[in-house]
Amino acid sequence: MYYLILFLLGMGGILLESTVFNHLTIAGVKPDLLLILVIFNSIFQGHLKGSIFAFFLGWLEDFFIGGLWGMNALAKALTAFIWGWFLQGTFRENLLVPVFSLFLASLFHGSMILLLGKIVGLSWNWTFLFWKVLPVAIYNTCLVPFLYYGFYNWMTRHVEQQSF
Amino acid sequence: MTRKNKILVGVLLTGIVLLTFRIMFLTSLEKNKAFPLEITIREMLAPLQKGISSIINYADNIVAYFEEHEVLRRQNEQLMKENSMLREKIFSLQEQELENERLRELLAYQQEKNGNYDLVLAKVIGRNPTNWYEMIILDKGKKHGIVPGMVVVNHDGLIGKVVQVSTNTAHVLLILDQEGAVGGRIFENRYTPGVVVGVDNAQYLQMIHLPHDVPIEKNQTIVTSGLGGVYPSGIRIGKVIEVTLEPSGLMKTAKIKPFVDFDRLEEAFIIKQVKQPEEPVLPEDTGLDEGTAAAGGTENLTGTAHAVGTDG
Repeated sequence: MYYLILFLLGMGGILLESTVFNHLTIAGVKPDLLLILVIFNSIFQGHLKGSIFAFFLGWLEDFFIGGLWGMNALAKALTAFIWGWFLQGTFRENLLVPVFSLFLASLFHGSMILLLGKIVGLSWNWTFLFWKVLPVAIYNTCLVPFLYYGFYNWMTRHVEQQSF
Repeated sequence: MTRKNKILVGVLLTGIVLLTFRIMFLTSLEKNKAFPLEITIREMLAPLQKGISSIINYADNIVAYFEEHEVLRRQNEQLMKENSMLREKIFSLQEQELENERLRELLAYQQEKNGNYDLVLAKVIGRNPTNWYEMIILDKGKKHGIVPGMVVVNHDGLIGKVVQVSTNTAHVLLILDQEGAVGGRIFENRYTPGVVVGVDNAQYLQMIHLPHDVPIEKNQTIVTSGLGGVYPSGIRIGKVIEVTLEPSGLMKTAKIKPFVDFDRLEEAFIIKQVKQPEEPVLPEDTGLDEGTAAAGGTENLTGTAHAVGTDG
């Protein structure tokens, strides 16, 4: 059930990115809602479960985007794994934890996508790091305060239900 | 986790990553082709996308309506301001153009009359505030050597005479005023028959006390006669527009349209000194045909003067 909701949230994220956020671009970029979801999940579920979920959500995204299947799956899975591992045992009630981790994770994820794109032969430029990756990281970070507490409360309730 | 399991997981993960890379490369080569899985997911999400997009577009349109309204309102305000400024500018330029034209004509007049008069250019700065006098106020006074009795003209003709002066202003009684009577003569035949006076509240003049046999006709030009010593002779006054015989049958009255447009008077010359009285030329707009003018002129050049009034 938990993962079904997460997947539904992921699909919702894809839908929002492809519709609503086209009207809410800042500096020409949209936030990566799926990455936010992936990192939030990794904070609570740890690096293994987090990266598996990220891998499948990445696939979903890749299928939706079309072409270059697995690019988002790999990038998101690796990002979730690394940040899930880094954030083990951190005080996740502190808002600064998701804020900083999401900023760095967004930079890492963007760099990964850029690298993978380069590997498969796309003519992407490294300046995308400044024009796309960095603005997305900032945008994602700005959304954390609005999204994290909702996710935190939902996760807390879920953990409580699990323990009963 | 046993060592064997760890190795198994490692191999599995490596396999997954390698497989993913393989798929990535494969799908990158087939970018133009949509795979059934892609199509299924996209088709599944398309109605939702469509719904959300419709809502967003609707909301966008509402927001855009208010935004556009605000933008249009601001633009309108700005354009109105701009329009008003431009109108003001155009008006100012037109005024300058008209002033230029007037000053050019005045300058030409001054140059033309340089041998006849010592002229001082003055601006009309006001009019008499009461309804009792036809009077204007000029911006030249004692300081500029202006004294009462000086004649005021412009390139069109006679305006009046200075009646009062202060240091920097001069009050000019117009020939339209009944008090500003001028001795006039018919230019075409040099006949000096009468006095030109103003008519109550009218923008035309009357030449009164004309003997019934005076050869005066419509369209003839009336100039100052010089009799009385105030107005130099030969300054254009106006054009005869109507001649009527008085009920007694002994006298005639001529209605004269002044050449000067007193409603649009903005500059004027004060004649400080008469060097040599002028011999006026016919204004172009008299409408007088040459035959009439020449015939009248020849016939009456030596006619008897019938002056019955004096200047001022």
